[in-house]
Amino acid sequence: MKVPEILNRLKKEKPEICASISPECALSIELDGDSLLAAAAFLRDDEELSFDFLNCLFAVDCVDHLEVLYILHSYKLNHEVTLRVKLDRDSPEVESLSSLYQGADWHEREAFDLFGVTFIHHPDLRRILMPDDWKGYPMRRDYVHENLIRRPESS
Amino acid sequence: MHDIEEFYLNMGPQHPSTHGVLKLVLKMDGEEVVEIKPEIGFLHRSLEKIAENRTYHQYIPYTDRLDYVTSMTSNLVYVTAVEKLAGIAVPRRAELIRIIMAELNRIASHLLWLGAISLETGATTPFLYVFREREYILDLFEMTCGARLTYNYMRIGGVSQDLPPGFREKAGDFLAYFRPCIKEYEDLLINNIIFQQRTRGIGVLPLDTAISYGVTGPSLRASGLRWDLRKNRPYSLYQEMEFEVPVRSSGDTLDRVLVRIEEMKQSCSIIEQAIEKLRKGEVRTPGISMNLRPPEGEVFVRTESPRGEIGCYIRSDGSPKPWRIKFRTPSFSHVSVLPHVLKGLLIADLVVAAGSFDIVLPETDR
Amino acid sequence: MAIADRIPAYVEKLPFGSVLLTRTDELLGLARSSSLWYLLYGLACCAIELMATGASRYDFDRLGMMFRATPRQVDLMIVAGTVTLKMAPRLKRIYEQMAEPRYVIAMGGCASNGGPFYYDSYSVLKGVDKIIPVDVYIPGCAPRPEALLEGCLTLMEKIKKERKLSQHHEGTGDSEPS
Repeated sequence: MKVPEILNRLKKEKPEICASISPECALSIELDGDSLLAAAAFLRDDEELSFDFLNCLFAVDCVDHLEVLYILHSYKLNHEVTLRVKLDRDSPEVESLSSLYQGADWHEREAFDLFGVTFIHHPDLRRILMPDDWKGYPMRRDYVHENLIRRPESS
Repeated sequence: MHDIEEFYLNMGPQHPSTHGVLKLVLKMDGEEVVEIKPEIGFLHRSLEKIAENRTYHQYIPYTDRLDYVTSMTSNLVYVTAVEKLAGIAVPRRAELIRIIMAELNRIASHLLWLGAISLETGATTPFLYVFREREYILDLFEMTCGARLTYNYMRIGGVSQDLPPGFREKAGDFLAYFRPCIKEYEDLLINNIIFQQRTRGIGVLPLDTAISYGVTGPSLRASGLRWDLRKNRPYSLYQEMEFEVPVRSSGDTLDRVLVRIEEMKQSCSIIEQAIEKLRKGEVRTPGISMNLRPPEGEVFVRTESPRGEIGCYIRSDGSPKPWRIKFRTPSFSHVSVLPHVLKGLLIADLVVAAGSFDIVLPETDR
Repeated sequence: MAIADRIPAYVEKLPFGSVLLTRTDELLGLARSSSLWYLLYGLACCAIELMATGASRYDFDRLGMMFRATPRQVDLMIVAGTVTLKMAPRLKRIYEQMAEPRYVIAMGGCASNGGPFYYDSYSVLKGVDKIIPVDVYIPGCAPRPEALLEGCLTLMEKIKKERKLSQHHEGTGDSEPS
């Protein structure tokens, strides 16, 4: 199934979820943060979509907001879709998908560790890659640290 | 009277059988492991932060260090993603050379894994045998691109240089020498009653758990799902290659071992077919600027590495440097499934079962 | 061990005492350098080349070097790979567990100086000599097995030149963190 068909089916079966094709990329569906869990549950359980594999979950720092992307794949029907949620930079919070996909657990911990995105109802949200006492969220674009030496522009 | 308590054992970051710097905190009841908490991040080298300050061409050597056991595969996924983003076509000869290198690297990676897992079951000799075979493969790589470990061979639009004269003969000699070696490993190690007793029924991973945790690659095929990106979502020129995908059903350590041994045989066949199809041609699309500016947008490309599915997400903002690069690596998911699979094992079996997932830490930590 | 420290001073006063001390030094240096046992401390890419050097084609055992898994039984630690800030305290602790005389080889660019991760990396320790003293640096990324063997032979030459007994009054021991 192509992404517009997936979106149509989602809108038809679950009209209360507001979703649209993302302006950044035609292969991704943009969702509201509140409707993410319901949409993901539908995408996983519906017979014609059956997205049983959460491939990847990560955050991107666009300068004025943060985005969290979810890449889902279906082994049964061999199709793929990307979900995108835009979050406020100062308090990025979104529902955790660890109740649907057990692999989401560690991906969400990494997004919390490096970008500061808080995942509500996550079983164990703590740092995973950086030491436990590290301050700050290193992958944000404006991060400054004494150990981070920027490469000078070559003339 | 004494109280018997459970105790915590730290299988710390420096340990000969953790395949790198993985820390496993084990809660033990005597010899049996009750709970496992893996800790990673000891090799987090911030490859994704480095990507923000390098051009697309300058980043290729860093992808070597992402998974250094199979540098060619990591190179391949990155340059495929950039080519898809920028709409660059790759000449046919370059695609075939890429397939030959990726499959040779798959054999080299599985050989290293075989040496490591045989060390863990206590057999020291196969380690030396596999390194002997691996050195022949590294000779082929050194002949082509000059490096033994971090090749930096693929370029955006092709490969950096053509195969040297004598490569076809030497590769053919290697394959003729190597096929009986796989039989030797099977006879001496895999069909050995001790090895089978140590691996049969240990560390069973059921299929629905594997899919839920995001396990991919040979570990998923050993649990029963016939899925290989080279067949189901072919990239490069894999749709022209004929090979079989080995699948087993019970998901224990022995199945994971047998799937990888069979994959080595299939890789030999793919390399022969690719060498057969080679014709004269250029090896790199000309005219790609050093300051490549792909159009704004994003792309996600998935390829099959020896460990599983490696994916590369690139978002471009139209400048010569990428805005964000993210690698989806198989070992990250495999380490996260270890607490589920290894619970209840004896500590000696835990080491073998953890090794059967073929985890390398640079991929996990990036 | 106070008496043993003072013995060289007494021996030197004997006729031909200094010759005896230098010859003993040479014997000890030869013995120490011919049987260096090294710690398996492979962290990253250089670890694969370290394993390859210990394996079939380039053999470490012919130089008398054997790998051990525990720091208590080794004289040499080959730091092969990138050291991150999270790993650095563990590295220091393992170095402190080694018994003297102990030597360190920094293998590869990452252990010498941070390597390709010097710029733009917030979590990498830029060179292992910031926390432990290093005897030999081996450049390369990853260095070839021949380069690692050359580094080990350089270390053996350095060990043979050590004069612990005959230079006792100058206070030169093995390298200590200042």
